[in-house]
Formats: sequence, C-alpha cells, structure tokens
Amino acid sequence: MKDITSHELHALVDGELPPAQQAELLDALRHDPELAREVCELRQLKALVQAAYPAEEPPKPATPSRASRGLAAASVALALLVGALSGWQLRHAAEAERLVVLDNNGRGQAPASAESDETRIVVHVTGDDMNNASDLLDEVEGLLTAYLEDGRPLRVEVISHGKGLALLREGLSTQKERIRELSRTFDNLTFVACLNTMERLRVEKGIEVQLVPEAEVTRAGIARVVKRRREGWTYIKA
Amino acid sequence: MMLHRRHLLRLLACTLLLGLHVARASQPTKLVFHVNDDTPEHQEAVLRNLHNHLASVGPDNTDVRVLLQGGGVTMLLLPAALPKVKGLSHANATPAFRERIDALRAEGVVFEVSGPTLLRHRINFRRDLYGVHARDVVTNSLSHLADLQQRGYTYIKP
Repeated sequence: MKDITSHELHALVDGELPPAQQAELLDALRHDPELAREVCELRQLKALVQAAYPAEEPPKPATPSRASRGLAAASVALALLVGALSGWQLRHAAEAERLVVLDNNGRGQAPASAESDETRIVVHVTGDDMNNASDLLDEVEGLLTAYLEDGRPLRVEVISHGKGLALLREGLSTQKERIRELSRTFDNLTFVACLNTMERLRVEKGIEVQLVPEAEVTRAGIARVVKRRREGWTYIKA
Repeated sequence: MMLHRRHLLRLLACTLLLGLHVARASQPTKLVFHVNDDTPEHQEAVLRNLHNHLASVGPDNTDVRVLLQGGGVTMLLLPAALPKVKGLSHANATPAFRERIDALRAEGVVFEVSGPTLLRHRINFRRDLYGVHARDVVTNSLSHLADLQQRGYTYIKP
C-alpha cells in the first residue's frame, strides 16, 4: 500500500480532496482499520476545535475617512476584548482536547465527562536496551496491578518505533512472554508498533519484521505519541 | 486610522503572550528529571544540567526532583555495594559524584528512587545507596511521574 501522508488525511477529513483521490483513500481506509481509526480520531479532534471557535462574522465594510481617534481607541478596546475572549476559548479548546477518550476497543469518541478520573499513560520506547525495557515492564505491571486492585480506571499504551521496535519483534525481544502475560491479564494495556519503522527495515535492510502477536500497529509511532499527548495522556519516555 | 485584521491579530497575540508570561513568572519552575541510563557519562551530564539550571534561575525559583529508575539508580549506588546487588554493572556514587550530589541536595534538589527497581536489583537502600531515606522511595515510577505532571511538574528525560 502506498504511504498516506497525514496531510492527505487532514485534507480528507476537511473534505478538500478531489473525488478520485477521496475514493482511493476511502478504499484504503476500508482495508486498514488502524488508519480508519486515525481518521476517526482526527475528525473528533477537528470537531472539538471547531466547536471551540465559532464561525467568524463577516468583516464590516470599511469606513476609512470617518475614522476618528475615538474610533481607533474603541478598536483597541475591542481588540483587547477579542484577545481576552479568544484566550478563554483557546484554553477551553485545549481542555476539550484533553478530554477526548477512547472506549475499550480504542475506537470510541465520546468526550469524557469533566469528572472522569481515568489515568492515561503513554510510554514511548525508542531504545533497544532490553534491561531498560524489562525494568519498565516491572513498573507497568505494578501500576496496572495497583489500579486493578483499587478499582481505579487506567489505560497504558506502550508505543515503540525506531530501535524501540525491538521490544515488539518476535526475533529480538527478550520480553515476549512478559508481553503475552501482561496483555492476557490486562485489557487496558496496549503495545503499538510503528509501520513506518517496519517498512524502513524492509526497504533498507531487507528485513521482514515479525511482530509479537499482541502488538497493534500504527502508521507513524511518533504521530501516535503526539496524538496521545494532545488527548491529555501523561507522557513517559522509556 | 483603521485597525487592520493583521494588527488586530498581532495585538491579540501580544496580550495572550503577556498573560502567559505573568502567569508563569508568579511561581517557581517545577521540574522532574527521569533518569534510567546507567552510564557515568550520561549521569554526569545530568548532574551538570541540574547544576547549570540552578545556577541560571537560582534555587529559590525552582523545585527540582530527580527520579532514578532502572539503571538510573546506579547514580546513588555505592561502589562497595556493587557485588551485593543483582543485574547492575555500574556503581557511580564515587566520591566525585557524591560531592556533586551533596551540592545539589544543598540547593534543594530531591533525589528519588523507584521501589520496583530496588526490588528487582535486590538493593537495600539504607545500606547500598548514598543518602536515601524511606521517604525518597516511590512505590511506582509511572504513577509518580504521572502524579507530578498532574501537579504541574515539567517532565524532562535527559
């Protein structure tokens, strides 16, 4: 499948693609649930942002010669007021973004209620040191267990790309058993591998990456990290 | 004189920036450094970063914590303890390191260590680590880092 850029995805969501390209992309989406999910989340984000920015009023016709000092002063006051209001709206837009949550399948789009106390942590893995990975999985396991025992809502997503992909590679990971057990025990834990990294390994080194069966894939690991951060997940670098 | 849209936007941006600046200047910067690399080179760079940060903003204007997790715990591991612990190949709390750590602690930097890391590597923090008390041991690094970020600490992974 050819690479679909995030620019194209944005254009699709904005309805700015020519019909032929749109049809092609929609077809690609049908065959790639992960991509479809990204588009879905993108839509949700855009809807939230748009909701926070009401449509601009059309500009009033200019009245050049009448402009007096008084009018200029009024304009400045208006600008300050608009600035203050926009700041308030920006803050609310940011809050709205922070409250986007996913359902158990990672597909839901319902905004969380303000009192939602779900802790969401994204763990970003970019190194191939298996001792580090193992230490980290200790922490992940401890966290999941503690939250489960206390009945507190939690989601953890481990995203790996670049060298970090080693954690999720069948032939390289020393943590396969651990990943299997953790995934079996906790449905609020996901492991995500970067497709771009896999394709780069294939093209540049002729390696067909085999992932552990528990790994999900995403087009660009880094984009997924950014998205999670925008959604308000706590970021931790492995 | 007519205020154009461009000017209006510029004015708007300025008011917003000023607001942010004022809001930020009113309280000390809160930082948490997350260290999980075990090499003395990396850790020395972290200590230098911390020193430079404090020198530039002054200890009163900042609240700094360092969370040592995984291999990062070797920053405070005494060389004499290395044979007693499991699965670690560095013990970086040499006299030179301890001097730097003392200086940072004197300026209010708090060094915290991960409980799971202590268990995994069979470290007795009272015996094997330099100047660590029970209050410095965190139950879980991830929840601790999440909690600190919720409380306004900026997360730094040097």
